[in-house]
Amino acid sequence: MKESEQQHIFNTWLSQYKALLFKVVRAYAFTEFDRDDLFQEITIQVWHSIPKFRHESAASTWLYRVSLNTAMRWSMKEKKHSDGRESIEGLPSAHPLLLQEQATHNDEKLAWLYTEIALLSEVERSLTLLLLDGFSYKEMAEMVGLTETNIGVKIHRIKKHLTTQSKKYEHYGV
Amino acid sequence: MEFEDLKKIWDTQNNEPMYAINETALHQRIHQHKNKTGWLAHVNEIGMMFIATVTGGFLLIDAIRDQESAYSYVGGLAFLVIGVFVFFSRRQRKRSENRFDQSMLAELDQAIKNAGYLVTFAKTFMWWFLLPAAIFSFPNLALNNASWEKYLLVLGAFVLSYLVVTWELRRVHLPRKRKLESLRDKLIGDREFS
Repeated sequence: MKESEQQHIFNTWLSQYKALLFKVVRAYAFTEFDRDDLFQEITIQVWHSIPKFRHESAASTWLYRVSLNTAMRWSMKEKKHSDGRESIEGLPSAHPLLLQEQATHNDEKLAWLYTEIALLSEVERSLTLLLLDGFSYKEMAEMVGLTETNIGVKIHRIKKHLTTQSKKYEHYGV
Repeated sequence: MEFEDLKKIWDTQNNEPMYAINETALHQRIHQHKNKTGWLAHVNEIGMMFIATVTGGFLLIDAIRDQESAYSYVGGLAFLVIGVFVFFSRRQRKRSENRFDQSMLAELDQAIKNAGYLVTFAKTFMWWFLLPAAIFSFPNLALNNASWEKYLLVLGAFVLSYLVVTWELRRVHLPRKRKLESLRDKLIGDREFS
């Protein structure tokens, strides 16, 4: 594949599916620095994945798979660094930040939902994102590599947990 | 709230992007990384192939030209065999890396396999490169009546290489493999929420 072609696909994907990438970033990274780092990591992996894309699935499915996989692994290696990284947040960085949070995007309920998602394990977070974005069990099973039954069990527990938490949220009126 | 209500909350973010992307900075960073990716992963193999082939070649040329002892012939051949072994191992690894996998589990399995390869590679380096190199170097030093400083220098190089490889194995490759395996366990396993 020619680099110009790869660049064209990358730009198209980034423009069409940036919301998808942002969701993954917000679910896995919790400081400005970490979000920037994870977004960079995901976009690099997306770039490298383009020649492997065989159009056997929708681009959004492919991007979810690449970005969730990257986020899960990033999250695994970042745990030990998070304390140190947080302490340098706010200091001028050698590189300009990639992501600038939009001031208009400040929904309290959505923030609560992301907090609940953040409390799940790396794997459960992935499944929750896919579930909330309307993927079927079959699609999730193909994407993750588990059986539909196994996915069903996990999803049932996640749904139950989230609805229980939402009732507490409503009850205490947070 | 029911799950459908949660979904409605979730869908509110589709109306407006959460972040603005600094596209210039992003393209710069991708450009910086795209040619560099993989280089660090391959540097061990390329370095070892280069050292083994060059050392083996020199030892053999020396042995043929100066009619040296059998140690030099065997040593030279051993290094060349190691170089060829690393070349084929690397080729096999690259092939498996380029294979197209659909699922996250399959990709995770591949990552575990690659991490396992690096563990094996580090161990191979210690037992099939450092040890033979040491075995063939010391008799040669003895045959050439080398000074004690030379013995110390060669011994120091071997000890240092051993420590660096052991450190890399314990601090980088093994923990990474364990973390990937733990992630795989989480992916497959079930847990009850408290």
